[in-house]
Amino acid sequence: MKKFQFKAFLSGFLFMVSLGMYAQSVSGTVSSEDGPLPGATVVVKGTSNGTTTDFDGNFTINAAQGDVLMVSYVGLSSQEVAVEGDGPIAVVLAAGNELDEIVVTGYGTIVKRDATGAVDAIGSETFDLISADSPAQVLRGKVAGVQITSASGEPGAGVSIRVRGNTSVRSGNEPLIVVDGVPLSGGATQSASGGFGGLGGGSPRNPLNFINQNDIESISVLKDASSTAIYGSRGANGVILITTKRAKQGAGEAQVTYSGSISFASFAENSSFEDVMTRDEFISNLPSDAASVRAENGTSNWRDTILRDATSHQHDVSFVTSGENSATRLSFGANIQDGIIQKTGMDKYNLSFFNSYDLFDKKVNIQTRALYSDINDQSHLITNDAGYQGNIIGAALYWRPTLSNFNPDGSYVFQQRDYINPKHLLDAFDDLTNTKRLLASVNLSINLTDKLTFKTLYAVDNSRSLRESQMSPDIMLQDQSQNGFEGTARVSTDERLNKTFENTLNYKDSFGGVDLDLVLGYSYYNYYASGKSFFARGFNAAQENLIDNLEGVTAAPGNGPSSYANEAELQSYFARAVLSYEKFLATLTYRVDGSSKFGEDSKYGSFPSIGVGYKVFENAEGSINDLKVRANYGKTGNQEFSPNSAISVASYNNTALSLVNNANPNLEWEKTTSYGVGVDFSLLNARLTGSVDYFVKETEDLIFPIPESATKPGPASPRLINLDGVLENTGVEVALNYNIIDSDNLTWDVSANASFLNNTIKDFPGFIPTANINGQGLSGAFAQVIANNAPLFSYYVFEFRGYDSNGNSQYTQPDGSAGPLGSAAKQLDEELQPLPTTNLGFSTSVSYGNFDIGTTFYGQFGHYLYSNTANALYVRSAYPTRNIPKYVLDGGQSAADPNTPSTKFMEKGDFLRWSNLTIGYTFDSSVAEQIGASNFRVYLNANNLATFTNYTGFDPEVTIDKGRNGVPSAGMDYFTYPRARTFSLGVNLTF
Amino acid sequence: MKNRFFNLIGLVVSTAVIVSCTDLEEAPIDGVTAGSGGSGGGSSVTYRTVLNDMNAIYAEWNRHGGLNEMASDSWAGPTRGADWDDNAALRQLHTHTWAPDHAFIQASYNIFLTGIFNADLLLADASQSADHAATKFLKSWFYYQMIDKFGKVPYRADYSDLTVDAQVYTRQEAFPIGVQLVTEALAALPDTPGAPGTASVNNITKDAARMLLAKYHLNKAVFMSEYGTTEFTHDAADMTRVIELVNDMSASLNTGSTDGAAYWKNFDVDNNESSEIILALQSILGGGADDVADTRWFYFSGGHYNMTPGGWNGPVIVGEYYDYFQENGVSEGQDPRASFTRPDLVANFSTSDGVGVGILRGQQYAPGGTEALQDRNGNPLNFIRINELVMTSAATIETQGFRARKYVPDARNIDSPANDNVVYRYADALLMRAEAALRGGNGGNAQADIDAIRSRVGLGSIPANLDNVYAERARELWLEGFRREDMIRWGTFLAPKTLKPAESDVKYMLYSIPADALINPNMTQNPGY
Repeated sequence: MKKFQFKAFLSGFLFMVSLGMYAQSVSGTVSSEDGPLPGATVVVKGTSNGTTTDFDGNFTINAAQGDVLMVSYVGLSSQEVAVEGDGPIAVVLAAGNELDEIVVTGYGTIVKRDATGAVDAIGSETFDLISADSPAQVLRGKVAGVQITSASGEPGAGVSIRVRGNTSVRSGNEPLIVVDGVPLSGGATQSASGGFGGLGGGSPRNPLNFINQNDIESISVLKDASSTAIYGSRGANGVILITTKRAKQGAGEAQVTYSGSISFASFAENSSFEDVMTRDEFISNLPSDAASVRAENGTSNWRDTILRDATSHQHDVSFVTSGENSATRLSFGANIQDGIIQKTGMDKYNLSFFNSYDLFDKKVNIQTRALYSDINDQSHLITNDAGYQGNIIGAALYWRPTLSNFNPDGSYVFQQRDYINPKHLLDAFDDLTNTKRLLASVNLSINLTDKLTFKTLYAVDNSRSLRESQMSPDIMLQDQSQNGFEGTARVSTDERLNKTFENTLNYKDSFGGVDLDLVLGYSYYNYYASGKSFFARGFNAAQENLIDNLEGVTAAPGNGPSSYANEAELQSYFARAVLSYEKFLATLTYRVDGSSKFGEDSKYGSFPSIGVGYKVFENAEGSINDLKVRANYGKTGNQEFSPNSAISVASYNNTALSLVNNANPNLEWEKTTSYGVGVDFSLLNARLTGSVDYFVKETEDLIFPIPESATKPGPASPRLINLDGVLENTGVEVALNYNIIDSDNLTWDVSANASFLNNTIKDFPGFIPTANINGQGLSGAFAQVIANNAPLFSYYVFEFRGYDSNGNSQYTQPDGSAGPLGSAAKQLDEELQPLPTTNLGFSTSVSYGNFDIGTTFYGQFGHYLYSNTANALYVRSAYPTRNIPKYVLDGGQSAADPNTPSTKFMEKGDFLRWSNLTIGYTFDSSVAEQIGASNFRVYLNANNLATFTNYTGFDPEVTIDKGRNGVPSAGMDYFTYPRARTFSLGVNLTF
Repeated sequence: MKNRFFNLIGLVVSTAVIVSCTDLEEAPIDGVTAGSGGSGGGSSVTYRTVLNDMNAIYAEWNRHGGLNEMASDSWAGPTRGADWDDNAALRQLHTHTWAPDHAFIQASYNIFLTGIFNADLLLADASQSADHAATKFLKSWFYYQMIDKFGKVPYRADYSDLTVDAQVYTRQEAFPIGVQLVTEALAALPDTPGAPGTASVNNITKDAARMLLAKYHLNKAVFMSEYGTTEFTHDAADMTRVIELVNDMSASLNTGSTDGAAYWKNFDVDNNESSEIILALQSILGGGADDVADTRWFYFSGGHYNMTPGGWNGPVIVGEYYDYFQENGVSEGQDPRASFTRPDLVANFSTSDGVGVGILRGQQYAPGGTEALQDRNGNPLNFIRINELVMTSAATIETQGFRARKYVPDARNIDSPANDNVVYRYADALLMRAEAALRGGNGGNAQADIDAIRSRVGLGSIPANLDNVYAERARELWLEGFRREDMIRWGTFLAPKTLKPAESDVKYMLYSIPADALINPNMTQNPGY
């Protein structure tokens, strides 16, 4: 079958070549009422052959006589112009029609007006003016159906991106990220923290940090199967296409831009935050018999101990130059960001290079790109699964405010090995990670004829990461000694080497009123990952630098070496036809993907899709200007799991060979069938534009590590299987943009989006616990399950019914009444689940004279969060040994009542965040010229101004990884890094 | 120029053709390709592997103690403020409210079946035939546990394709298989430990096989019964078989001082010399290659933090169970099985008056026996009867409940003691023989067996009847893992008890099948769960 497919492609290719047609170079200018338009898009209709205008509005493009050029510019009406004669073409675009934007799609671009799928794009203009550490953050609140959740407030923290909900139970729910045509492999590029016993391990940082936000030109989000099926087996979770900035040929003058900002960040309490007690509160509530605590005369405050006001700064310089056949862009970025917890932060340096070079009368174009990043992450014990002794945040919260951090002689106050002085822990621990990553590509494009273009892309994505952490031997911690010595050093390295080879043949033609755009392609990907890690435990108490003097470790150290290496290959054949006939539009896609990760008998999977559209109104006058209805159906896949999952693998462990994975030659693709309908519209003289979508996604053959109990009698090693069951996501998305005022010196735009999601798993045979709960007396506890006929990660805990007269917790009994813990039964309630069912985004921008103001709000609603922090620490019996919030003291709980996992620790997660406000002022050109600039803007930016919520933890936007046996969790909060409020002052200069 | 253009195209196309067409075959880099069938492709299962699976049950207090004792009337795991809740798992066992998500039940289920799997691999390996008899014994032991606790035994006719779902034997189908295995083992095992094949830790004898076989027969009425049965009719032939098997045994009760020394010989650091131990898992002082067992939890689990040896201040002996020691006119402290001490124990460890090992109660003293200990709240460390499973009294939160010290702590190395972990004792066999005689078996002498047990610890004769056997088993075999079986045979398992006010549903006669196991479509949940 595989051979046959390749032959078919080869013969198709030869057929295309034989259709020889002649293209010519066409030039022209694009302008608006206000003058030449730099950066306008010119595309030959029905193709992905396009260019953009230079700074003077000039363009040159290969087009044949009779071709139609589609010229567009964001905010202006698109125009179509036929190529006739040899002379330059002059195009004047009229004001305003948002729907005409051109968006990047997989293997091409499309005018949004003609799209049959659900595609959203945001351009650099929407995020250039704000500061963010990662491309993911600029999408937040901007696109309907895309939910971005930062794991925490730590600089560079991991981000979870969900496009149209959770499509998979465990096989990864992150969308495919494609940077300049290179699909990234997904997964982390650095090690998680760990190796420090009960203090827990943390998550690696967001792997997308390697992209400098200021290098991004646009971000497209492909949401439905009609758009994502071209990415086949990796399209089920949606696709995010990031296009970096380029330079355009023939632009002439070189240009340098500089942007810089300085930011001040501090802990942002949300409106309902419940803090632990102050020293005064702590003392005034002491019981009469707490003589020893009362006698303590120390003083400390958790905020002063571990938090700080952080300063960050950011600088970006870019340089663009071009000649007739060559254009180059170079940029350098530096982003030095301190976290609001001491000894945390991220220093990031980016270098990007772009060159486009034309050969053979512009028949051949070579684009060379490189994105290089060097990131230093400084982290601390921000861990997901700290045990009863807590981590840096836990230790800070529970430390009695009647204790100081230091003794009068300057030594650290010591209590117990599991009741840790947070200041000592802060000073004793260091954790530094350096990650270098290069994403380099060469993209060769050959116009074989004026209708036939061949493109080949070769890319290498290489990252190397080194994480070094050490716990000083001068601190005494539970379970952290070796041969009587304290101190641990851990070193881990991670390498990724990913290769991409993409070949496409594009044919476009028009006949009989039908416009055809055909893409055939072959892709090959190779993903290699490896890493090594070990720790050394037990050092001389006087040794300060462990990591660079590892031989200081005690004889017979408790070192745990570990390593991994694996490789995965994919190859794919794909085809897409985009057809339009009068008001009808159709997109047909077919991709065949093969992956080395799958079982012997199911290496290949097929992923077809169809999208159709009908333009009910097009460029009409009056109250309805444009109206397009569209429908789509398609199948996509998911293959986000470890290599070597389908074969039987053994490895050496303590000198013995033992089985680590069981074969499953039948391991198949996880398949998501989606269908949906949508409407795009432009109303009221194109002042109100928007879209409404309804979709259904059904995922089957859920890839799942079969639990040990299900394969017994058998080996303990895991095996992936395709589980029965259907994971169903349905949703509605609405996006609106209203241009309220549009006059010469005042414009006011408002845009809003909302998405409503429903998630249920059906016909599911398992009852799989997840969401581990950690803390004292909570061994083995978990909060969520994956169960039939319930949303993913539904809570499964005791239902708390208040306290009895003695202060003992009452829980729902099997018969429904309230009663004691001993006879209570856990409850599964489909309403109590952690995935937001409603996501809202709202932004508005005003431009008045030289001023511009923009602000953004977003919110998530309909879900519950679980506070493992409160469960583990906020128990009445802890006081007065440990600090707790005042509400716990006043809540009526008895000093003997345990904090059993229950609905008591669940809170509604609804929140609305005022996430951004930017006020900018652009100086008149006369002022700018005085410093030699052509453009000069200053701005004030505020991030995370306010959060409206009833959640009592640090922040309701949280997703700590509390997965169990590889099954993820959601909505869990445990010692989460608090979120900052940031004020920045910045400048943008163009020379 | 045109030629160069086409040359370029040719180059690109030919590169594309060459690079493409991978076969997508996969080979591990950080391991080796293993064979099918789960044997690990060269990874070896030895007798020790299977024995470790058995030990995995005993070495963890919440498996052996949890499933066999905590679910009965003997042992309970109360909460202590914020501590010791373990997601309700301990309480659920004692109050019979467990569900298919119960972690300890699932862990035990997995271990029993891992044992069966590893035993099957070993039995398929002819090169290890010297260990086959002992392995059959172990496999039969795992079958017994599955039949007893879950009423089902999943099995595979062959292990070559693990993607095929396991089949499931019912209790009634599995019973003769387990009996057959141990019968074969009995024929082939040696009379005394020694020259046991490849594994130096293989000490399984004919007596061990007789014991297991006798237990199969003693519980046959239970194991062959239909769901919902709570009263059992024992076949006289089975009871006779129990008596015959015990008659055949070569083990004998320890002799010596009736003050308890003979009894405690079974649990002392030199218990490998006890003549009445039929089977024990070996423990080596300070560890080492032949160190299989770990008996620390038998004194750590209940010990208070301020004691020597310290402990986890966790599970407790239930008061009503402790009362068995005061029956038949025996006053408190008079039964050495609950109260035994020696000068070296007083010198080395925290003790209370007359209790160096046994069931710790009352005021505890520091080593030396004079300094009264306090709990961490400054209250006297005075162990009192437990009266609530979810502790509500702040004053007694650390001191409620009598504590078990079933093994003599090893003063030479508390963390790696030499005490072997007792699996089967001859005293149990004698009480089984007495029970079998009272249940209609031929050839036994119940009175003689009960008297032998009691006189060894200096206690007088009591009438031979089933009630007295039940009570004597409680006194003799406390925390040895037989109480749940006893309560089921006597029909008392579901009855109310101090910390469980109501009669339990009949479904609790069997444990729930772990929810995960039901992904195998051939497996069904036990009725009622």
